[in-house]
Amino acid sequence: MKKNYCGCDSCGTPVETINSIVENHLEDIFHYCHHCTDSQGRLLPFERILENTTKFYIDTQDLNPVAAKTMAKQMLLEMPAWKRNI
Amino acid sequence: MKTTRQTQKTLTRKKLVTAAMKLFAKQGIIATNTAAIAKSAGVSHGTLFLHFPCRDDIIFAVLSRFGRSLCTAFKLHTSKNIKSLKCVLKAHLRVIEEFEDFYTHLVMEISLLAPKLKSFFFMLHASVSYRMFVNAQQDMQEGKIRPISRPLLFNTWIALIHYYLVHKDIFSPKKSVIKEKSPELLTHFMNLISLETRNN
Repeated sequence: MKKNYCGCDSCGTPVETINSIVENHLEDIFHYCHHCTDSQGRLLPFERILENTTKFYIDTQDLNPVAAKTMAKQMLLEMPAWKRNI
Repeated sequence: MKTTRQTQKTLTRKKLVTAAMKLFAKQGIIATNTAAIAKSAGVSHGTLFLHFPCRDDIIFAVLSRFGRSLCTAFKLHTSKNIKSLKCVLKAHLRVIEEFEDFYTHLVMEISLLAPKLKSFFFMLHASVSYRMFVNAQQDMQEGKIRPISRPLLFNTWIALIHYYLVHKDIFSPKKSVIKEKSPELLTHFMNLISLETRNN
């Protein structure tokens, strides 16, 4: 899936403040929200973001934890930050 | 600076997404094939696949456009100074109204679409829920609305809106159900969660 979304390129959230802008060697510009980055704006490891995204699904919509984790993984693997790297 | 070729590529991509959105809104997401999208955008079928290697990619692009509008609406209509839940709900309704026909098909067909699309749809919901609760907390602290959990606040709201959308043919035939019903639905929802109303 091409990078065509203006939200966070790691978790897909559209309404968070963008915390970090990172250019990679392919000259793509990635935008990350504060949930997906550390205090210096560096992208957190995939497992940590998977955990955070799962929790986000559960906390906001009361989804079943197993279903939430499956959905989180499906979605993250489509995001530009993770599509080529996992 | 973009070259002419890059500009053309971006324009073609935009045309394809716009055409897809119109067709999804008119005839449904599942019922729309890529050949029809390409024809409507005035490009060859092969060109569509250069931009969107599979059908799900173009659906994702339309969903992303909806997500961008949500993002813009929340930025425009909710500021650091205005932390009222009603502002978020109004902004949410405004975006749903803008995408009403597409969004209604999306709600009705989401279970039949690819899991990754469903996951993204629920991420958009998660973001609305998050924003609703951030603003609701202020109202809760000020005693304007009763304490209510984040998921139930959102799920109650979205259930109400989706019910009217899914049955729009009987609530507002051939018209925008959101445009017609949003003042009433907004007032009803606020009264439902309002402490002031409950105490009266």
